[in-house]
Amino acid sequence: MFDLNKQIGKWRSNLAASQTLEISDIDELESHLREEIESLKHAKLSDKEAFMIAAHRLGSPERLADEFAKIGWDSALRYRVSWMITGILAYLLATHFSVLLQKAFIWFVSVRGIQGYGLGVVALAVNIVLLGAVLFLCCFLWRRALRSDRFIKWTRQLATRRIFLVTILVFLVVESASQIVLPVMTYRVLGPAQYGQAAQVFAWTRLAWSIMLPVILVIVLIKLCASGSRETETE
Amino acid sequence: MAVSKDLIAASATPLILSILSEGESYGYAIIKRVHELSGGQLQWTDGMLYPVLHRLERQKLIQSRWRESDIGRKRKYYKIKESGIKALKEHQSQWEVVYSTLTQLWERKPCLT
Repeated sequence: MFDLNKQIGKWRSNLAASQTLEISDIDELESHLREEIESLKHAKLSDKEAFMIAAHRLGSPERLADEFAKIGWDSALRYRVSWMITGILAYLLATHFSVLLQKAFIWFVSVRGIQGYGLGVVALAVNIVLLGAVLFLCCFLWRRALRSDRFIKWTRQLATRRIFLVTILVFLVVESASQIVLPVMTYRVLGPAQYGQAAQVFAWTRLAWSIMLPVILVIVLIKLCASGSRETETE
Repeated sequence: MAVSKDLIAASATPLILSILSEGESYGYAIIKRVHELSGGQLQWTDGMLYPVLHRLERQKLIQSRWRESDIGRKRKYYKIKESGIKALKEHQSQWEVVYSTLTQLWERKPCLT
């Protein structure tokens, strides 16, 4: 059974995925689509036929996105750059947050008698578990939220509002403060020898990151290419 | 006969401004009006109208607002502004130049010799 509203919803999310159209643009196009469907149905066409013809007349999502991008290229660019900055910040935040937790964990186990290399290994394990957790969360959010109108609207508002700048500022302050405070705190808790041994394992942590990040990047790129070609196939 | 893409693109702005100078309207109605006036020979891909409308709005030649129609459908209505009327006059004189030049060339002149 052909569900008109469901099909229109799908059509909307195809348009939204292009990211060059504002929500109000999509609303306007939908209003046009519905009007056309209505008039075609008066000509005794079925829901399905009317929808297909009206969508065809309106133009393919790719073509519409291209045309809209021509007039709104600056806002589209700003939107993408905001996303890139958000991505970089999220990455920094995730790594530094994991280091913060790692150090807190070190303190927790060192007062229970684990020292030196053992400490470093525990820290490495914590780091990897945290990285996994962050990745899982990202994938989860990506799947759940990114396709919904409300989330896209929210990010668009976020990208254009001052909240975004304030967040960056607060993050920078917290980040630079923690860079100074954390080593001092750790050094006070551990003896110099222990600190040195743990630092050796931290170096291995960096190695783990530098191997995993390119792998993750490649996986994400493959996924993006695959989803891109799938969308053009359904066209 | 279908009008070429280039000509459609070039005539979009004066067409839209002219239709809006008749009164407030919305995308679907503008396309129907163009279709009706040209006898279906000006074939716009429907979706291409909206980027043009938005560009004109950015250039402050027209203004828009969401309004509910009499039958309860939400539509975005466009209205021409003072500067839009000025721009339309400019377009009009340009098109008249093109039109008169072409007609002079195409007119079959009587041969006097």
